[in-house]
Amino acid sequence: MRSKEKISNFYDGDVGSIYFGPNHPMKPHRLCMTHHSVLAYDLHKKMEIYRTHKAYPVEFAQFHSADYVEFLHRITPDTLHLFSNELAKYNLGEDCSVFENLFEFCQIYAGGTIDAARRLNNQPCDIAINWAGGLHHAKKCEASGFCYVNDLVLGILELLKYHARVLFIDIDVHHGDGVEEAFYFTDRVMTVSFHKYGDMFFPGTGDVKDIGEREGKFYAINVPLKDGIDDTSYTRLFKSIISKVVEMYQPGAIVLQCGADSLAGDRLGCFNLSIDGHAECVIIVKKFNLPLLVTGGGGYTKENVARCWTFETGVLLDTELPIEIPENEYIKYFAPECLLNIPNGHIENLNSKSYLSTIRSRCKCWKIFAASNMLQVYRCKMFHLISIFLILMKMSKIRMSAWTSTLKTSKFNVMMNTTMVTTIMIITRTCEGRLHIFLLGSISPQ
Amino acid sequence: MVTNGAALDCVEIVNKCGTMGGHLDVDNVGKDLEQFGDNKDRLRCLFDLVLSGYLKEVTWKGLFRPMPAMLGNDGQSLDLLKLFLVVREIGGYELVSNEGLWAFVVKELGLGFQVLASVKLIYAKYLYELEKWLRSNLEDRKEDNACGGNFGFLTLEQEKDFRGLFANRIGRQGVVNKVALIEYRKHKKFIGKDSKNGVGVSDTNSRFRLQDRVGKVYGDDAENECRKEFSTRKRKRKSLSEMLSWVMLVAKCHDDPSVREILEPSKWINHKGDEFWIQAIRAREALRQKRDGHSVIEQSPLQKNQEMHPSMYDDDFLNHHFTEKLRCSERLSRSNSCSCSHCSSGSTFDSQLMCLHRTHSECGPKELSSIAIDLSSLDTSMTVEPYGDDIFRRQVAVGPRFQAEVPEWTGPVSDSDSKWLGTRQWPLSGGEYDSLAITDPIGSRQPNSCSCQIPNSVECIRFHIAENRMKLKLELGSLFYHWRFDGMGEEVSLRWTAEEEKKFKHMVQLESPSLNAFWPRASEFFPEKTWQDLISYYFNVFLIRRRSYQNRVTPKSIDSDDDESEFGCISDSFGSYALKVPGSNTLTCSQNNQCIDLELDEH
Repeated sequence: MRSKEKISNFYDGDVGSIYFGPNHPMKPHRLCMTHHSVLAYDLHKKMEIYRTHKAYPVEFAQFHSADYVEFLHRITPDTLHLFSNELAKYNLGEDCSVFENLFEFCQIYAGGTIDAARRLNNQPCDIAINWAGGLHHAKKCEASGFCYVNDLVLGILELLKYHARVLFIDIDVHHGDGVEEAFYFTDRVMTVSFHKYGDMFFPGTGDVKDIGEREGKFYAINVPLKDGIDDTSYTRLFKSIISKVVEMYQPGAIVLQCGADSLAGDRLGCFNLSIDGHAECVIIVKKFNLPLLVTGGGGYTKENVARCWTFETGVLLDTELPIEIPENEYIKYFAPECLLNIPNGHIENLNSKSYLSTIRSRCKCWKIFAASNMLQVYRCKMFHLISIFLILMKMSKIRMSAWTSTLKTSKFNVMMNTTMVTTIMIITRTCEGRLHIFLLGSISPQ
Repeated sequence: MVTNGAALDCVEIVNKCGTMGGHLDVDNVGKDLEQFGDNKDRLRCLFDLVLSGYLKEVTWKGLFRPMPAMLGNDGQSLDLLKLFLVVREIGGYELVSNEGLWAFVVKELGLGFQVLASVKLIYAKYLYELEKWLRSNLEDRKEDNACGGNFGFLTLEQEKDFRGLFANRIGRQGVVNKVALIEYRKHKKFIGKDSKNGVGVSDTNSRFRLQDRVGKVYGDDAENECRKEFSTRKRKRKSLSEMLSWVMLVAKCHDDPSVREILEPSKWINHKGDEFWIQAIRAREALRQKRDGHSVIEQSPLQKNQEMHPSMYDDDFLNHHFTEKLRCSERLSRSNSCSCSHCSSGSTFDSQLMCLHRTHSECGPKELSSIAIDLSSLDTSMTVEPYGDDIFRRQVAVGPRFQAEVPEWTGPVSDSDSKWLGTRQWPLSGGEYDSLAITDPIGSRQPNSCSCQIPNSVECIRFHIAENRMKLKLELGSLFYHWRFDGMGEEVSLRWTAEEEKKFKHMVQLESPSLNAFWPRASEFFPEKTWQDLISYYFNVFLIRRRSYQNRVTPKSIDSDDDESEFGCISDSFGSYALKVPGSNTLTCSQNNQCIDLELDEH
């Protein structure tokens, strides 16, 4: 346990002058408002604030394809009409409008996340915050959902230089598809996303069945939710899943995307979370005492975003904020009450208890696989297996229910974890080519 | 394999699509039938198909036979299959009637003697015709002695297969029944009735073989047809929600007249209509296919977790997606603006499709084999296409154009470019940092300590804002400008002349409700202002004024992010005026001005 966390915040005043275009729900001005509220609450006295370096195209190319980065660099609103093919190819122009200073905007927010990750790596700080970052939809070769450069992927890649495993958690109302896709094949990054799923809600991915592939199989967890989920069920679900994941996966660092569009009353969202509920997730993650990179994300009702991220900055600084927002330039945005909390949402909660419990147990199911996947795989003959099994039986209580397999098999693998929890699994292949996976049970050290 | 699957599916069709209501009372199936084990359901299915097909024909002739068959008034349903089998076993309706074996039949069915008459009646009404029909068909078949007639669809191999299967099955059943029958006949003889033994089991067998074949033809072709139809009409799902409610209705009240329409599987083949039942059957088919494709997951749930069968999700998904299907696929759909959100759902959809296909072609088969689901059950001719709700499920794209390159973990990498850690701006370094300012507690808004004449009045708040601003400026020093605090808040308006402000407001109003036309030309209107100036003015002055107006006039429905709403309510001189001449009178005036302004604008 560290005595006192060092916290770094990243901010660049230039984001205030970024304008996505009329009627575009994404307004970087919310970052100004957030920063202003943070300062109004005097939170800057408890942390360091950094100006980010503007990331270079070559840094983008760590993840993005060179042609895409080059195009992003080149395109301006004045030259739009010359590149209709490329615009379609890179999915620019609609959701992802091309505006003045687009590339500079990308450089600022991506630079912030990269800087934050590097600071965590070099350990001058324990928690790094970049509210400008968290644009989780951007893909390797195209923009998507208001996101151009995927700063989260770049940040995680940076963290992977120092950490064997990184956990990515996404509480944006939208699925964190860009990050999941980028790390779909790797077991070095586990992505967990809580999001609205169904009704053709953007981006359409994030089914509970998407669990990763190849080495990355079981290293992507999706928690699809329905409209109107409330604080209690959300935080319960979050806690049970995340604590299990951290226990099983034992990440070296955590990246938390705090999209504020999961709050009640968001222009694009459809959940009923209060700021307290949203921040509770941050508290849960903070309690693991792991290097933590916190980014922003979605959030399309500006004043609620500012409230939320200010409150969460306070939470990360272990500071309780008074509910009245101190007078500042933007106080009128928070009028008439000028309070830090937001009205309750009135969207009907479509997440039934049974639905949530099924989701929960399903996600846990993947986790067991994920854990056992890390384990060494032993190939052994039948009598070995039986003797191991019997020894384990003596050692501890093992569920026998799984031991009902057809033992007419020749090849099988046993997976065993040697660290925290011993999970014993038998994978057999019958003569017809059917694969049986049996979980024998798990033994904890106690 | 396919045929087997088809037959089993028939069971599902029959069960799921509602006929299951009462007359297939599985629990009442007697012990003789239980011997069939796995084949029981299959047999039942085939029987149902034949019976229903036949009854349909009868209905067409004008005879109406309600299903399920009920015994008497107490609503007890009768297991027709069992009844049929028992009677067949003995030797047919005539034989049973002549010999007076109905009591035996009733006993075999596990029923009381009081329903003897009803049972006999039901047999006469429902099954006697069928019995005759089958017999005559068999005769036809013998005469034809070719793959013609009603059973032309069947290949010789399949026919043989079924013959073998069925002979075996009936044979086994026959033994048991025969013993019982002989017992009974002895008993009957003892009573004094003459018995007329003679109907061999082999005869029964052949008839059953025939029956089986008929059913098989129906089932198989129906399935093929369903598949074909579904694949060509993936996108046509207009009345799916209605279909689902229909399925629910059927499940609830199976004796609804519309239900009976399903019972004509022979017509599936040529069915061109879009009735609910055929949709339901196709949907079921699609789900089944999907499940095949996704048995990756199906296999995975651990033994102990089997109660959460993935089909739960399927149903759920179906419901959820199809009933509320067209909420538009892109992200801006919920905002009421359309001008910037003309993201063509068509192209999104197409790319989605492409993505689906790509995924399937690239990793699908490989994935399947590596997971090694029961490969033998997947017929190779069956293409695993994204059917049903899969079309709505966007899959994760895989390939070198999508995934990040993650190196193997070999221990911490010493990073050479540690210079890019950002530039520390706060706390300030060196002499610039003035520690005097940091004495107040966090969140130093203290309403009680306010020394203003009227606390919380407009000018009080304005005063405190200015006060805090000055404090912050002192505290931050040059950082104040780095963070663009000089360009925040309504002070921005001080850099604008009243003339310019008026012009800005006018321009925005002119282009209202959509700003689309304004912003591209904004720099033309204000050549002396930079883009940043305009944005800054828009967010720091224009929107705040609108917001403060909203706070007073419509505090219940504030949406500062709504660019579309009317801008007519902003006083043209409020900001700079109030900033320059603070005082309650002027403020009242300016408020009044706004209201007047509003009225003027409306006219």
